[in-house]
Amino acid sequence: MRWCRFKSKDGPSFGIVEGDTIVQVEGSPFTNYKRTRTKRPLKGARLLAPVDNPAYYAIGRNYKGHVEGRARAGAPMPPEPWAWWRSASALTGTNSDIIIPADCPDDVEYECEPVVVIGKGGKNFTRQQAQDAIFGYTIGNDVTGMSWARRDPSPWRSKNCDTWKPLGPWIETDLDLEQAVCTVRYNRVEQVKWHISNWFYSPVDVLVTVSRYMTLFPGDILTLGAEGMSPFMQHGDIVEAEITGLGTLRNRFVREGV
Amino acid sequence: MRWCRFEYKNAASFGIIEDDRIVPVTGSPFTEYERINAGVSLKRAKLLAPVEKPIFYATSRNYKKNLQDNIGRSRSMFAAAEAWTGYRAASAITGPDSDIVIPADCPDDVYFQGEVVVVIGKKAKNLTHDEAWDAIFGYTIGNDVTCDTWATTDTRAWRGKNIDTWKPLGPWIETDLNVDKAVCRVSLNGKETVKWNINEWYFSPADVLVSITRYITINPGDILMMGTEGVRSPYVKHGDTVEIELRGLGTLRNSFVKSVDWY
Repeated sequence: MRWCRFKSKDGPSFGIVEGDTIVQVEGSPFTNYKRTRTKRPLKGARLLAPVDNPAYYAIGRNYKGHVEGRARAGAPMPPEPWAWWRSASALTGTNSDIIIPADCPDDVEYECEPVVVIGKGGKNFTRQQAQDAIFGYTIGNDVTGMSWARRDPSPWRSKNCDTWKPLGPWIETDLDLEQAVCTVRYNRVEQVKWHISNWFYSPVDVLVTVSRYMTLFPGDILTLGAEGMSPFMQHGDIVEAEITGLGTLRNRFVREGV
Repeated sequence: MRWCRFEYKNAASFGIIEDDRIVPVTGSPFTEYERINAGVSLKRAKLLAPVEKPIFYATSRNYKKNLQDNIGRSRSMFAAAEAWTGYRAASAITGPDSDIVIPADCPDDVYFQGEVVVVIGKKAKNLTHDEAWDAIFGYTIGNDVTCDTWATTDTRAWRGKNIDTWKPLGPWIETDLNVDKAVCRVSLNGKETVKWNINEWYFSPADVLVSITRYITINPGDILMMGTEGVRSPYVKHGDTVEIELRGLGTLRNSFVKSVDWY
């Protein structure tokens, strides 16, 4: 099943994607919902990030090429799947622009990542409970300003500028993890391709660790880390991340004031 | 005006505090609201954190003695050249008079930090200084509970600061606080640990909001914690009670409880 959020006549709404049609629903997949009779073509729909004000967990180093790339910059691999957060205020949808602020240094990178969507809340998950807590998967781009990340006392603007966390295009609840391959294209040229299950830490590993200390809620998300390294983004660059069996998240970088 | 959130008819409701009564409202102070023709005793009410699932900004090292103490503890600490922010997890928020639970596997060096918390009232970006003061809805009190060991060893202090119940907030929002007169006083089991004039910050709430909104849109109900004063507090023990009093606002009181693994 495919769940999206989109701009309907009544404001932001959840919808179910069926073929090339969106069926509008009342409510949300995370609480209660009801299908309405309102349908619209998927084509031309303004898709929004498929979750609303989530707690947004992130583990940074989880795929080999990226871990090795970042290790050259001195960043160690944590001994356990430790989480950090991104700000929900930075979320945007697919096919929307990622705005680089005018005063941002010229070393903005993409990090395209598989993202887990939580369906069942809870605390102190066993491995089985963590598995059962997963609602589905989507795709995220953890855009990062590298100079700011190094210089600032905390990763606030280096990670959380408005529009720097594209998410989408929708949530797929039936993804075959063993088969799923993620491909990242930069201006239509393939950069990296990997099996998403080639992680160091599985979603279950992370959820078991996080839920020892924090209560998870339906609609929360966990981004699983990128593979490979990114060039620095220029005004007009287009980054696409595709997961087989899911879809493609596509966004353009735009520098403010250009 | 004083705004609270409290348990009303088995649900969470916003309310307006008038003397010793709470008038429940439908809606919220951040959107639209309507007073309900009812009243509840403030004394008997179960108060909750006065905001719901905010974006939780936190600046720190914002008062002189605290900055010096931090620099003394770590060579990587420095005075910030411009106002900046970090984040805390909204999932860690709890209300006044509730327990702060220390997990069984947590090292024994948990400390508390009383702080003034700014509550945002407007959706805004690229604020000027004057606009930033106008974007403030009111003030409340927060406790930035931290585990010394985990804050040092963990990447980005995730468990170091953001465990469930480690961010008490309340007791309510005061919209008419005079920040130039307000004094914050923190005590442990009734004994004062630190006291300061809140406007002796390096960066005022407006300074921080101007910085944040260069890059980030703030929304009604978001909060910004302003940092604590003084050297590191004593490490807490099971049963300790911390009170943070802000003159002209009220007192946020919470007790620490050490969780035990029974298996």
